[in-house]
Amino acid sequence: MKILGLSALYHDSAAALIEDGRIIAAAQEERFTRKKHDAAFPRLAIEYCLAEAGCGLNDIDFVVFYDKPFLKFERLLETYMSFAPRGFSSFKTAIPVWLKEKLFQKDLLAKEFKKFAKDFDWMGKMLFTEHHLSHAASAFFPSPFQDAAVLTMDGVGEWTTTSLAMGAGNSLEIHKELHFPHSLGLLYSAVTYYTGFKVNSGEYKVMGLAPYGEPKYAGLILDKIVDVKADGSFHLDQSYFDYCTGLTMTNDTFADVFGQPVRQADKDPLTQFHMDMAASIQAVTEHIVLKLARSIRQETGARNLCLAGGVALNCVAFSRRPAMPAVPWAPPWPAITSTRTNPAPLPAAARMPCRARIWGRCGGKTTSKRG
Amino acid sequence: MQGSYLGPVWRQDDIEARLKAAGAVFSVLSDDALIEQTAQALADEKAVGWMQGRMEFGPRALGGRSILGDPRSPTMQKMLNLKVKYRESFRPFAPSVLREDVAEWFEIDGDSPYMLLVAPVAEQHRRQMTAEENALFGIDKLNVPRSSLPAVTHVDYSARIQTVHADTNPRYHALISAFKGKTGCPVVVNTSFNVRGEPIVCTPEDAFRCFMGSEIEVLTVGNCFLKKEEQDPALKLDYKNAFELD
Repeated sequence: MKILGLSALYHDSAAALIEDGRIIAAAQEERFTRKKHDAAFPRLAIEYCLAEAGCGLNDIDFVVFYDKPFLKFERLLETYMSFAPRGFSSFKTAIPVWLKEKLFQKDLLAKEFKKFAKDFDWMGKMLFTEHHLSHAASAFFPSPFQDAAVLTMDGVGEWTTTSLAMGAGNSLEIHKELHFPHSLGLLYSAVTYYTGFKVNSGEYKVMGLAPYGEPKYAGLILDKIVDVKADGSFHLDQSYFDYCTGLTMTNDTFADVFGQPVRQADKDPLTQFHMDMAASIQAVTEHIVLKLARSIRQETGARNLCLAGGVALNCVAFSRRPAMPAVPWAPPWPAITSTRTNPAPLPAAARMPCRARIWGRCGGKTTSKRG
Repeated sequence: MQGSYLGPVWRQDDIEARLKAAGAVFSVLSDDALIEQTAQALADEKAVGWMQGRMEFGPRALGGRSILGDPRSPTMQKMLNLKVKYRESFRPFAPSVLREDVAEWFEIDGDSPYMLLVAPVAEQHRRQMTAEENALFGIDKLNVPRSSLPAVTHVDYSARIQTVHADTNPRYHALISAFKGKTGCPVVVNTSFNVRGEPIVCTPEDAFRCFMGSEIEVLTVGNCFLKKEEQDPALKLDYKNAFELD
């Protein structure tokens, strides 16, 4: 049984080939095209994987894509509906792009596949999996554990921003989810924006800056912006943000709380204030993650914990042991210091019986016990 | 778990043919001589390009496509940032440490094969800061050595650690062991084999180009050993402007 896993058309396109549960080869397209974060259809990575496995495309039983385009589109629409008419300017910008590229991602993929190999039955062999399930699978299946709780924290996948999945043997199921816009990744990105760094790639710089500062504003963030419940779940007060409706991350209300305007990278110097902001968001992240990890341990009794997604892999947060209830295991593939994650294309495919389960889920909606 | 070494690898004869075609001057060493000479270059504080075996999957270089250095050197971090990677930085680099020695050098005794865990440098290897040094700000503060491993010690004494295991990457493990034999230090600086804005190198040609376009002084690709001073100066590249900054 050979499965080809693909991630493409978002960022860091990649391909992986799994044979009878073993990863034979995996590589990112950027290494071959020499174009960093290349999001193009991973033609060269696929060719490499096939060569490594010594097989042709016709030997592949299933092709798995890491994402379900329609769930994302639904999130976009519902967000704009609930924030209308304030969101119209970004709606105008975003929707045509989605209509053109994302909504028809399956068609686009089909076209790329046809270009790659005309006679292959792509649509008959194509499976889509949910973004968060891909993340969770990419951590659990290659882990050394037979059973484990899997915590995934991400900027935004489809609807889900934080999820708890339980893995046992060949099965993996999402138990709980937090939904957009309540996202620790987006909060981290908001501070990244506020301190003058590039959202989606500057998060690692904020993390690197944190040790130079004092977490002076952590209390303020927990007081005003993010409400953390006893079990670690949280709620972001949307009145401080602009990502739902505008084209920036934070608004004036956010700046007023901390007393300084957004730093303009080209003219404003980095000061102790920005280092203190970085230390503060890092402290809040660690606070939430540890609370989540402890409540997961208590609730599920799981002795093993896997971590996935950009935020969950903020490595500093997870090294605060013995505060952590279990030594966590995380895979090396997602970019670890930013919300810019690389949902590994390995996921759904790693163990065969799981594939059927994931495929079975694709038609339905994931149930959520926590909204 | 087979490690994240899931990418392309080249046969030795293929590497030699490709390097020759690129105009490289190299010697072909036995396994033992390769380890010995590379460890010596590291001990001499040279920046070493290390391309061995299969390429890693994911953003971390873990000893398959890495640039290595001596973590004891107080100038290594600055040199790697400015002359090799062409980036400004307020962060030091990450260490690779032999798994069996990790607890002696860092406050952690466990596996971190993917460079995901952060732990403080062990007390006995730290250097206390003076009040004056503590008052320094930003990059000035970082430039004050705070341990016997200054190139990999952050301002809060933390380091992002890769433990190196003999069973998953025997050649890299052998190299660090040889470096330890010469210096007593089972730790090397490990940063990805690329310059800022460039994807990590994949082929022998990529590695040679990056070597010729930066101030990496020694390059190993498989059993081929290259010294910068032996290369044709006409092949030097203005490399740092070839990639968009991230």
